[in-house]
Amino acid sequence: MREKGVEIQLAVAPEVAFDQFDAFYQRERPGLLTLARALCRSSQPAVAEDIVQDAFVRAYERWPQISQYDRPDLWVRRVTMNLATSRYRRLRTQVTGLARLAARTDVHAALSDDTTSILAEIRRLPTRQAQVVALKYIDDLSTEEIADVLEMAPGTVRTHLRRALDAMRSDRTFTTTIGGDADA
Amino acid sequence: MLEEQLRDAARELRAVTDSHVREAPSRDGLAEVRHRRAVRRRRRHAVVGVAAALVVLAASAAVFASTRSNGGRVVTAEPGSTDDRAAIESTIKTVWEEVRPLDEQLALIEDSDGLAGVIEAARSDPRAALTLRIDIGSIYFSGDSAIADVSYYLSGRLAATAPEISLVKRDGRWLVTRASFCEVVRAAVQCPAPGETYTPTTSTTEPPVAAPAVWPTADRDEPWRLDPRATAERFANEVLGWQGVTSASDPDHNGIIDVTEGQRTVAVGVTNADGKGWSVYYALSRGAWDDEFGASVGIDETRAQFGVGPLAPDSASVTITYTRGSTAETKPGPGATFAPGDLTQPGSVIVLARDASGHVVGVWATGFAPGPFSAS
Repeated sequence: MREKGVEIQLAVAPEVAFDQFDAFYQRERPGLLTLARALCRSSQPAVAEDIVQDAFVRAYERWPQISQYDRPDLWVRRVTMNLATSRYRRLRTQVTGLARLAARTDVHAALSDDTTSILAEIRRLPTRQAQVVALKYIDDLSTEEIADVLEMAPGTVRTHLRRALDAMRSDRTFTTTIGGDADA
Repeated sequence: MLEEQLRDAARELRAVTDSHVREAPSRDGLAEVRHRRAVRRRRRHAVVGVAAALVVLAASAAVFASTRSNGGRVVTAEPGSTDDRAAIESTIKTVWEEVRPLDEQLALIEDSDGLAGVIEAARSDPRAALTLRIDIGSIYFSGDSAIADVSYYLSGRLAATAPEISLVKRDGRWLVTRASFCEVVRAAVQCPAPGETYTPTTSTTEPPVAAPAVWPTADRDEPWRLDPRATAERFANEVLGWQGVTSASDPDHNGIIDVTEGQRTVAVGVTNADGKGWSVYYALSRGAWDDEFGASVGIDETRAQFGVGPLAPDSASVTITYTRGSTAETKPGPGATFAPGDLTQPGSVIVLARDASGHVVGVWATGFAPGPFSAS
């Protein structure tokens, strides 16, 4: 997916490229919403939706180029990752994102306590580890795909993943010792 | 067990999302994408490229700081020699800490094409005169890749821990990965795509927020309005009643200032978009409120209604101050209804939570443009 210094010439007319964007949007939106909701530290589903919409805006702006990539879906995942884990973004969305979405009446089903709890565990991880865990387990990407999304070596992905899982298990052990109610 | 729980959570999250997607037609989303793009294009024309020092960015990249304490141990997921550690330390210090010839620094960054301009932009910033020291903690090896935990000291004071720096071994030399280098500098100097040239005027840093001011609402021609941090501190003094505060620029964005009094910190959004001096357009307590806080706002021609929650655990009372134009009114919270006032004027709300002694322990504040507004 990485665009290694290649000047990309448009092979298709712009209007055709943007037609493809609509299909791309509809295909990728559910997965990105799931990913963003797993990572962004707001309990408001609208915040995840706002993040995904902004990721698609960025994809739309560069679509003639991005549509030529082997995996534009990985590119838009990278943008979503960055947006979902930005503290500044979180603060700003409190005002602008919620305001934009205020007119909607979407009803979001509540998540179970178990799922809410494990998502909170992911969000407590250092950013890179949280991103790797979310891409691996929530988005079901391979190590190589995660490496492309996060622009790191596959070995680095494996290291982050191992450390993340160790940290989550360690956190649970600690909670069990103190509180006695966490699973092993 | 853990991995199975993660997969169960993913399945449930996907099911909930699919349900939501079915309810929210994608054609509305597409229309919104195009609308937002138009807005962003208009904003971007007003953006002046931002270039800041690598040293500042080193601190700025601490936004996602990991708080692990490694005590300087070398933790080897896979064997790494003492020579490897020494080589990695040398690479990191050469790239960031020391003033070295540009070519020497570029040679230690993987895929460094087009990054010369980024380093030069950082060097030209006056803040680069600050002294940066990097302490390297644990290093994790995995074959020909490694991750180093680092702490940054600016002028002798700990400025940040993290981000981790990723390195790869190429032809026997440890190089900082391009992605890692760019992550450290990305808050103010945007790396070009591989193969492209750095262009300072096309920074993708978010533009100044042209939001209505929360404070000061009246023109105040005072010297502290020339400085964003001084403005944020003054807000803490005058509105929150906090004394002896310290402040720091939010690592993720120049427009957010963290103001701290003792154990409490508030993120203060400041803007000088109108060129009349800095003002506060947003504030939110860090900590529990940051993650959990929610607010509902409904402002129309008949009333201005606010509700907030959950409150910080040590909150004993809450006040909501609604301002529209030059008229301000304060009522007890967590919910309150006001007369809407003159909706042709900008407005604002300031919610303050106080402990039993009356000290402010939580704040949420935001401005409103003229006209109706609703959010939840």
